[in-house]
Amino acid sequence: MSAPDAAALFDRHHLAVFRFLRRMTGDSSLAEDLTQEVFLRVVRGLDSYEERSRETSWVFRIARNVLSDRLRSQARAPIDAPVREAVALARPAVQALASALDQALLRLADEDREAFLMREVAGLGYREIAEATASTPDAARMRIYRARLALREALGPSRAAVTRGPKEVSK
Amino acid sequence: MSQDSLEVISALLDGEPVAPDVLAAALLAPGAREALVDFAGVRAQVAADDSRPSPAFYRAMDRLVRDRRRGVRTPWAILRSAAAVVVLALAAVGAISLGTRFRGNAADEPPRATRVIQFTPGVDWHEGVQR
Repeated sequence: MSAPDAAALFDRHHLAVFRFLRRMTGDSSLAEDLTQEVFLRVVRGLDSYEERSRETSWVFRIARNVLSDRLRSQARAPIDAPVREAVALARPAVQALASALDQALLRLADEDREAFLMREVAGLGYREIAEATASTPDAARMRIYRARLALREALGPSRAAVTRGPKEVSK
Repeated sequence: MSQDSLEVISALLDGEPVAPDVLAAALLAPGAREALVDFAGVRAQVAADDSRPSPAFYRAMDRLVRDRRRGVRTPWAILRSAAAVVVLALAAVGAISLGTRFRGNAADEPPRATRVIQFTPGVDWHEGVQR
């Protein structure tokens, strides 16, 4: 098997990567910017693509690195007012978003939100999440579980289910 | 409801293998049904996200990923090709240099004869020629 084609990879993963990053940052335009950077690195990294790593894990590991690089570079910048504002925009905890779910997600611990979104947005299994986040499947399971409990608490018992139709619940 | 029961339900939702007897015990716990419904509701809300990047994003990405398919080369690929050309050029120069060293300088030696003419004494080379 050869390295996957860049266009096919983009078609398969760009929406999940964008939605993952949007939920992680709480900022759509920042998520677009980061998604571009992710696929730039994907294209550059195709030649060194390792067959043994699963494609989705590989793409999401890159997405995670891009996000942490961006947050780190913003944190290193001199602290003046505009930069403080930029850092604040990138930090999920202070980003105001419309829906209760978005706000509840942004209140989760970064690693819990990350594992939960990889599972729910990208459909990664525990092993794939462990590969993407350099952790273990057990850690992934616990993080997702913690996130679910916190979201259930934030959204209110049985509230999430009754606000959705049966078709959506069955997805 | 115990934490273990909720963990089992959470793992079940994630498609992980769960032993039937463990699942049966978890579902019998008080509040298990509500927890399952709530977890499924959270999943449905997350799955309802239909956000998409802007058209500008797609234009930029089209240039990046489709150009690669058409054979437009990335800076890294160009750099690698240039490095390969330099290595080949150096190898050629080295080979020429070695060849010259082992053969010596060709300008210092007379050329090799291609035919030999023998001079025979007593032969009149002008005999029979009209003057």
